[in-house]
Amino acid sequence: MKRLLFIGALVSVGLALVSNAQALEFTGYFENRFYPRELKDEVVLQDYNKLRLDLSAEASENVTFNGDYIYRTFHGATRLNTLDLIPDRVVSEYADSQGTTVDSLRPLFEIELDDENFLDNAYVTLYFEHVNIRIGKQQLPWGTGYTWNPTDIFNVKNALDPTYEKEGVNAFKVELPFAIEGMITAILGIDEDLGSSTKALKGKHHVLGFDLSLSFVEKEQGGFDYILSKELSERRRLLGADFSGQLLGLGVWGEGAYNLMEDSEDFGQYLLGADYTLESGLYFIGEYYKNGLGKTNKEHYDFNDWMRFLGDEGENLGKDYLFLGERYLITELWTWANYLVINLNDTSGVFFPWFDYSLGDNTELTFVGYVAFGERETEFGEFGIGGFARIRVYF
Amino acid sequence: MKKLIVITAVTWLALGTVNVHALTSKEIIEKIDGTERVASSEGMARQIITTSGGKKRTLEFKSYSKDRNDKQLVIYTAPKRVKGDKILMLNEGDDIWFYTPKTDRVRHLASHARRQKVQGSDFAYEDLAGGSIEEDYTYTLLGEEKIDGTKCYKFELIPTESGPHYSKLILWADKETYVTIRIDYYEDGELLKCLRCYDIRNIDGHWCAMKLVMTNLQEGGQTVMETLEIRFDIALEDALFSTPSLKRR
Repeated sequence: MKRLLFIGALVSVGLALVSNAQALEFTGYFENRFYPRELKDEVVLQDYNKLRLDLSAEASENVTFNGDYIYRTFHGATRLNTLDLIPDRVVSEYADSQGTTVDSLRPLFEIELDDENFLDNAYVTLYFEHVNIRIGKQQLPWGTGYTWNPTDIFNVKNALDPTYEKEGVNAFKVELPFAIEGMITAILGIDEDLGSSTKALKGKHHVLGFDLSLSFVEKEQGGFDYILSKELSERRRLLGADFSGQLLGLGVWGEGAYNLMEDSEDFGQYLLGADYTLESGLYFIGEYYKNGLGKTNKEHYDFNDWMRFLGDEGENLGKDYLFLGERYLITELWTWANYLVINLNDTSGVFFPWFDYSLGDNTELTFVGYVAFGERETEFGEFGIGGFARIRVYF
Repeated sequence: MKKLIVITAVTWLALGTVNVHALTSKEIIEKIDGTERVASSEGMARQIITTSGGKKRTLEFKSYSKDRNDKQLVIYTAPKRVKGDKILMLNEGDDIWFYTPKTDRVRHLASHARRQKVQGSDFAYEDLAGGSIEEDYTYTLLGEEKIDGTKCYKFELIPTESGPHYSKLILWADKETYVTIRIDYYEDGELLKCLRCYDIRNIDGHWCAMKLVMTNLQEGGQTVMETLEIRFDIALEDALFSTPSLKRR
């Protein structure tokens, strides 16, 4: 309820600003994504239409409002069951542990993709001489990694489409620029009360050619233990650092986060990445990700691990990952890329070729395929093949 | 850095420069460098990309430069697909940051990214970054030639370690104004791209080419960069050329 009031207040402020705005602009895009894929030896078809309306207004030299609203309709296979994405053995063991059968569990794990409309971002930014303040539902990018961001607890990335836009986060953000490249950022996430709200502090500077950051985040980590059938809530304190720069001609970056957990075991997550462009323009990228939450043996992936992977947390199952990719501009309009994500512990992975085509000044077309490989019961081994075609038209 | 084309699509020369006899090649190069490296500038430009298949894409952007192109900033204004994207180049293009408002993310690109094409155009980042011929090339005066009736000095430029990735450039500069008229870019001994500079005007006491045409001779594409507005020697704050400023409107 408080969150609704918060958003409502923001929209009111935004509209008040808009009414006096010196420069008001409506933009947005329409997007359709067609997503055929293999699931349990069947071909499943999904499709959505998404309309995003963006509004930006410059109320004065030092005050701006930005917001966007999303309306999305789903078509095709809109009813899915999470249990279909989890190996049968793990589901059976889980059912046994709960003293029930798989069939009786299935209705509890049905997912219905209902049409949705929501305020994706809506924020007011105040610019002062030595401080910027942003209030509202806003983007909070965190970390330097491409496929994974261990220091980011605000967003969840999809390894198959890591650069796709994320939903905004309700927050109060204060930025204090210092020197030419330095910035201190303080964030207060808006939740039921101050104690349960996320707090973050980050210091960033550019030193000897490197962007360096140190961060501290404290949040109330929620969740659900399916095996013990109980809600989870504990304090999580994250100490993080990241960098990006250049070494021996390579672009290099890294991120590390050590998580101090109130009840469960502390864990660390670390990432190192590098990229390079050949004289021909062929671009290479690679990342190694160490996931302290993961397990090295696929036999030890339990039902909770799978739900954490498939659910909102998006945490991977294994301990060690490799991401490799190459990208090339075939013509001025066609970009071709190939990417590979491998779980080094269970040796499963996903290979996904990617094509982007500029159909017009404001029209993008994307084709992505994927082929998963690996033994049964591995992280990616039962994902089969699939892909998506996406068209986006800006206006 | 490294190249002879400024992001604002202009080249320039101090007003009143007069060609004098018996200049050494070093003195000529210093004058050519002088035309391209003004104290500061602010402008708007349009880029029309024509693909080898004849399709066109049009981009528009604002540009700012300071400290003789050591600092450069580009802000895309059209089309909607890229509106608000920003490119910040510091240290003559050795450090590049790319910002997109869709995710509010600033990404640091390593110097190898200078070889990548900018927004699908025939210009690479290193073609647009600032820099001096003196520092980034060893040069040889090959003689004098006419380009479209304009008497030009003709130079061969071989990139040094701090220079771009091309194997060789041939540059023609106007003998009167020292404005660059043409550059041929070679890669592994083969002619890769050709830049032609047109519509030379004197603005605010600086000579500049209002229209640049980069033709990719191997791929067949062409990018025309037209300067729509340009102002020189204006006061720009250092803070404009910083990563925190990328997130401002």
